[in-house]
Amino acid sequence: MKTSWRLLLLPVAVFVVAVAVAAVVIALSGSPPLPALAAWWEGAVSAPGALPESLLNTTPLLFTGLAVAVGLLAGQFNIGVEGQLLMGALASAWVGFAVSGLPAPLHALLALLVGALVGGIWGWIPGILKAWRGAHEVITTIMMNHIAIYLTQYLVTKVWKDPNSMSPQTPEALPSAWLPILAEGTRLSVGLLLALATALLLWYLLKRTIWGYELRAVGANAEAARAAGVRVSRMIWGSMALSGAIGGLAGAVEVLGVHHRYYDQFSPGYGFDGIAVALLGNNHPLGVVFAALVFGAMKNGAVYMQSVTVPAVPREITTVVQAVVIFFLAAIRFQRRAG
Amino acid sequence: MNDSRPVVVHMEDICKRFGAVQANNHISLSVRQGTIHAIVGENGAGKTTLMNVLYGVFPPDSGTVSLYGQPVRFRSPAEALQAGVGMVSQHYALIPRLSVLENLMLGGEGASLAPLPRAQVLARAQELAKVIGLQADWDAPAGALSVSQQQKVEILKLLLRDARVLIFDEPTAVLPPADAEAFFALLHRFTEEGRTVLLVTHKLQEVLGHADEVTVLRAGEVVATMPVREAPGAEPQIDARTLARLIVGEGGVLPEEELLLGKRLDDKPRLRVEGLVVPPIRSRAGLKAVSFEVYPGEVFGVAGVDGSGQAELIDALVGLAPPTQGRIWLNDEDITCAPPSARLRKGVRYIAEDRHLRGAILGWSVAENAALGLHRQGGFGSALSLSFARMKEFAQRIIARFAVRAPAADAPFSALSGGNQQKVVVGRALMETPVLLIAGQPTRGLDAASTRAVHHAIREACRQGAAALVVSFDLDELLTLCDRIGVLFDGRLVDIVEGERRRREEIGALMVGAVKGGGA
Repeated sequence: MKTSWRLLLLPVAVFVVAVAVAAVVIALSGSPPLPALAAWWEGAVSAPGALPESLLNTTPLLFTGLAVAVGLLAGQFNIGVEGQLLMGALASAWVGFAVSGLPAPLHALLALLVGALVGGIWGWIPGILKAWRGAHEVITTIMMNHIAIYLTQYLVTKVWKDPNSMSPQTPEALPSAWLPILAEGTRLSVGLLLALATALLLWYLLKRTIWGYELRAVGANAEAARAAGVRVSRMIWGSMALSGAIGGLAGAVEVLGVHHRYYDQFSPGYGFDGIAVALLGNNHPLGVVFAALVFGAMKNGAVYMQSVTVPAVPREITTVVQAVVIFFLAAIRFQRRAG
Repeated sequence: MNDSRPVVVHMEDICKRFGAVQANNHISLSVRQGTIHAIVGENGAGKTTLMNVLYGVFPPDSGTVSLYGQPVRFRSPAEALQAGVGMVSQHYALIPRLSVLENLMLGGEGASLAPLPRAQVLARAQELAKVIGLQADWDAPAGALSVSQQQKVEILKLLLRDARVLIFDEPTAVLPPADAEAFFALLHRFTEEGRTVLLVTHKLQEVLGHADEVTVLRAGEVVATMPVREAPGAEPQIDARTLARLIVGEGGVLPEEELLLGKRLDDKPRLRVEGLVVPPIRSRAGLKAVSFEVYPGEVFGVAGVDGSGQAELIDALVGLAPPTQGRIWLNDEDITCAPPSARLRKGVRYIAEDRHLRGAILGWSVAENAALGLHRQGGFGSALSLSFARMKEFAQRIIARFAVRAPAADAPFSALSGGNQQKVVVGRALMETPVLLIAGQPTRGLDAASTRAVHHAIREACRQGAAALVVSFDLDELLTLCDRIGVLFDGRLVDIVEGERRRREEIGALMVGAVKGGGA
């Protein structure tokens, strides 16, 4: 009981410190911090239409946070979620515009599935390199990110470019591939429910299945897991593929639910944001839900804050909060392991 | 003892709590200069915690520590070392990939962060190595040394920093008998030089044979502190029974005398190993064409100096290292290439020799650890519905049967003392009768009562039809527990002794290659 309270308290405390640091930065940049923080809150929660937009921002962060968390639980630091997201997004966009004749739910489902599959393959490659050859996943996933960034760029400018537009983007997906809108008058799609379902499913998988038990064993002590009959290498590439598939879903849901097409640089770094989300959520699927909510709302509120503060507080202030969160939680986790 | 020797270490009213466990409860301890002061007690009595407080690993919740009459408050082992207090832990702190010399230099950088000059360290190390009888290749990786040698390197590390107070936590747990003798000779030498030794041990014979004073802890409190002998070298004034009684308290279980030997239940071997060759993993020898059989109902012991091929034998038997030649049969079924999961399914159980490395997951709960390795056997639910309730229930049964001191079945495993952790690891393998038990030092770090419980559990399993193979560096343990003892030397099984020949001297000679046997 006591430890679970501490597990909960720590992220909250770190978050409060992070916001305080952000307030100091705001003050240093010449804006009065208290009205700015108030505007931030207003933009995130209380302004009209703010909540659905916050949830919209939450959706991709929830996916990428889960993707990073599942990797970390298996002892794999998947920094390649961004690349997996891009590949998954482009693949689902392609299914959206190139495949026709399917009825509405099937088309969307197929597009989601292909997005997850391609993201999964993009995560499986560094996984198999680690499992078979011992190549460190941090290095290989960063490399895979670069390949994904340039490959998608090439594909949307040269191969699958929308002929009716000057910008590097694919044609619009057929409406049959769009994810239905959750609430009239908002941009919020069922993607949010998919993300929440993924979190629940993942929680069950990790806590209530033998596969999840073994995955956590490999992450906590691979040598002990091996002695206990776990096929460690299979678990390494399996967890990386699962992580990548969730990353791919993040991209697919953004494309099918919000933009209805893939355009170059549509992701402001959701994959990397996932690292902070997973850390703040303590790698627990349900913790990640709350962390994603917090960061999603912050991202949304910051846009509003930028528009109403004088001088304007840049919305990039959210990255300050993220950085402080990563900084503190990584330091505390590391100290725990060392001590 | 009416003693004029000055008190070097004085700990006053030390309290330390970990979660629900009060590890040290108002403990006071005085240690005089030039003495060997033994600290004894059951697993979880608080011995290691007290030593960790003294060594600055963690601060006490309350209480004071003074050194030579001056109050001190070490915030880290580095500070303790600076003040002349050094400790050799149960789990050695060498970095396997660094060379012996680099390990010695590590941590001696001082305030400037500049490493000590290599030549200077080497010169001093060579000088001190002669004193403690260490012959080592200074440039060899520390991980390649035998356990005894690693221990000496640890001691050398403390001497290099001129530690005046030396703490040893279970120093002989993994040493072969001859090396243990040499180790105590070294301790006496240290005390003659005026150094002071704190010795945490489970072996009462070591206390009676070598200590000057002894402090008995039970459940975090001091039960007694008393002199063992008038002067160094004199006969002990107390006997083992008195000491054992103090350790376990009224109504506790006293250590065993002798176990009844088992009976072969079948003439068909349960385990058959033929011409097994395994490349070296943690020894220089590896395994060279080893053959033997283990029958249902018997405990087969494997003796040998550390690094004679025990690690390779265990790894090949549990499926963690593929042999390059030879065959392994379990009940006439060839399992030479079967993965660990398949062997687990067939009823092979493994007690890992190093629980931190292989036996358990420290960050998990006791219950989750109790299921580790058995989680696919169906007792904890199916693949898609693993039941934590059943894991907890299973853990509770282990806790009850092996008298594990644990606050709860879902308490973190790391909250248990080393001995209690070991009991969980052993209990997991023995709760249901295994087909074949592979045990690597199953009683490492256990007190007398727990050792007895584990021995009885292994024996009981064999009576129920199990076959057991036990690797141990403690010859007395093998002699107590095993029906037949195979002796490994340089990767070969030089002989298998049984019956009349089950004698210390005989096996000791075989262990160092003094007798050429005809075993395999």
